[in-house]
Amino acid sequence: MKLKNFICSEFIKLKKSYIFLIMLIFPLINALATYIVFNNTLKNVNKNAFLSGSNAWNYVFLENSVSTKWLFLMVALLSVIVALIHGLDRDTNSLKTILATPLKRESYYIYKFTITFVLMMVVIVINTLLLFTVGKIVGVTAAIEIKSILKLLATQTLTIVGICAIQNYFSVFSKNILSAISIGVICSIVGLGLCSEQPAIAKFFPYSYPIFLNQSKGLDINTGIIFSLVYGLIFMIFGTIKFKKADIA
Amino acid sequence: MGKLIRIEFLKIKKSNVSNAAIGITLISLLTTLSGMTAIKETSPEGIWESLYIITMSTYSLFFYPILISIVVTMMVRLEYQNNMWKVLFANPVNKMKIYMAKLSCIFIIVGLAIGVTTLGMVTFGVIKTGDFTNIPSYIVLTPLKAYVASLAAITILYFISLRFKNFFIPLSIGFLGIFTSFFTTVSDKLYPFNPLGYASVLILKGNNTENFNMLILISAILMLITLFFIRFSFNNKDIT
Repeated sequence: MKLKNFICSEFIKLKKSYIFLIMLIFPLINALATYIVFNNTLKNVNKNAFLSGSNAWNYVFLENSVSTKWLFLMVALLSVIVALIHGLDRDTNSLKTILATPLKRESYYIYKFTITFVLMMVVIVINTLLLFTVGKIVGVTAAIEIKSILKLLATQTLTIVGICAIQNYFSVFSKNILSAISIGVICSIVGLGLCSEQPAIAKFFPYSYPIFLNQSKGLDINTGIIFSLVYGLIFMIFGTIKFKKADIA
Repeated sequence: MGKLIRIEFLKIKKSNVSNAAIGITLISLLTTLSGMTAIKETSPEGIWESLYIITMSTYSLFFYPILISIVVTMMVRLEYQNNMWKVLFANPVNKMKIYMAKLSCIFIIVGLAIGVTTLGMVTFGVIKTGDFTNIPSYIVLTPLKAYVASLAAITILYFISLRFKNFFIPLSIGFLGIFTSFFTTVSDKLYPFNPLGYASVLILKGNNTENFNMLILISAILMLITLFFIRFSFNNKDIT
C-alpha cells in the first residue's frame, strides 16, 4: 500500500519533467534506425534470417541490438533516468522534508530503486512493441513465438538489475548528479569494449551484462543474469546501510 | 571578453567539468594503449592506419559526443544550480558577451580534449614506429576538421540547455546524437541531416579520398543561425 502511494506521488512529480517524452523518443528513434538498417543494408529479412539459421523475429531483435547499439543506449538512458529521479528531490532540497516524515529511510531507498526499475521495464516493453511494428513493415513472414519474446524481455530486464542498483548508489552519494551520469555512460562504453575484446574480464564488469545478449563468443547470458542479481543485491544492501547512517545536509 | 573567459575558467577549476574532460580523454587513450599490443602490421603506414582506426573509431562514435553533451550541460547547469544567471546579468556587461564567453570556454575545453587525444595518438605512433619525420597528415588534420565541424553541434546543444532549465533534456539529445550517428555514418544520403554526427562522419570517412569540406561549411552556417537564435531569444529575456 505504501509502495503504491509512493509510486503514485512520484509519478505526479515526474509529470511535468519531460521524462515520458524522452522514454518514448529513445525507442522511436531506435525503431527508425532499425528500419533504415533493414531498408538500406539488409534487404530481404526472411532470406537473411534463414541463412543465419534462426527465427526471423529473433533475427530482427538481434540485428537491432547489434547494429543500432540499442543495449548501450539503454544503459545510458537508465543512468539519465536514475539521476533525474534522484535529482528531483536533491535540486529542490526536498529530501530533508521527505526524510522528516515517518517514512523509513530504507523504504525510501528501495522505493526509488523500484521506480527506476519499473520505468526501465516500460521502456523495454515499448521498444519491443515498436520493433514488432518495424518487423511487420519490413515484411517478416514467420509466426510470432511468444515464448522466445518473453524470454528476451526477461533477460533484458534482469541484466539491468545490477546497473540499476549501482546507479542508484552513485546518484545518492555523489556530490554532483551529473558525475553519476558520466560514470554510468562511460562505464557502459567500457563494457561494450570489454565484451568484444576481453570477454574474460567482461564477466566481472556489471555494465557489460546487457551486451551479453549480442551473443558474442564465450559469453553466456545466464552467468550475466546471475552476476547481475548478485551485484544488485550487494549494492542494495550496502547502499541501504550507508543511506541509513548518512547525514542529509 | 578575455576577462570574462578567464573568469569562466576560474569557475570550473574545482568543478567536475575538468574532471569529466580529463577522465574521458584518459579512458580513450587507455583503449588505444590496450589495442596497440594487437597491431601486427610492420610497415609504418600500416601502423599509423591501424592506430588511427583503433583510437578514432571509439572516440568519434562514443567519447566525443558524450564529452560534448556532458561539458555543455555541466557548464550551463553550474549557473542554474546556484541561481547565478541573475548575478551575471546584473553586471554592466552586454548579455551576449556573457553567453559568448561561456560558449568560447566550452569550445576551448573540447578543443583541448580532442587535441590531447590526437597528441597522445601521435606519441604512441612515434614510439611504435621510432620515426617522427614521416607522420601522415591525415592523423592530425582529420580530428581538427572534425572539431571544426562539431562546433555547430556544440552551439545547438548550448542553445537547448539555455532554453530548458532541466539538465536532462540537452543530455538526452546529446545521447540521441550518438545513437543517430550510428546509422547516419552507415548511409550515404542521411548524414547532412544530423548535425550531431558530423564529427563522426568526418573522422570515420574523412581520411579517404572523399571530400567533406561541404560539411564544415554547413556546420558554420548552422552555427551562425543558432547564434542568431540565441541573440534573439535570450538577449531581451527577463531576469527571473
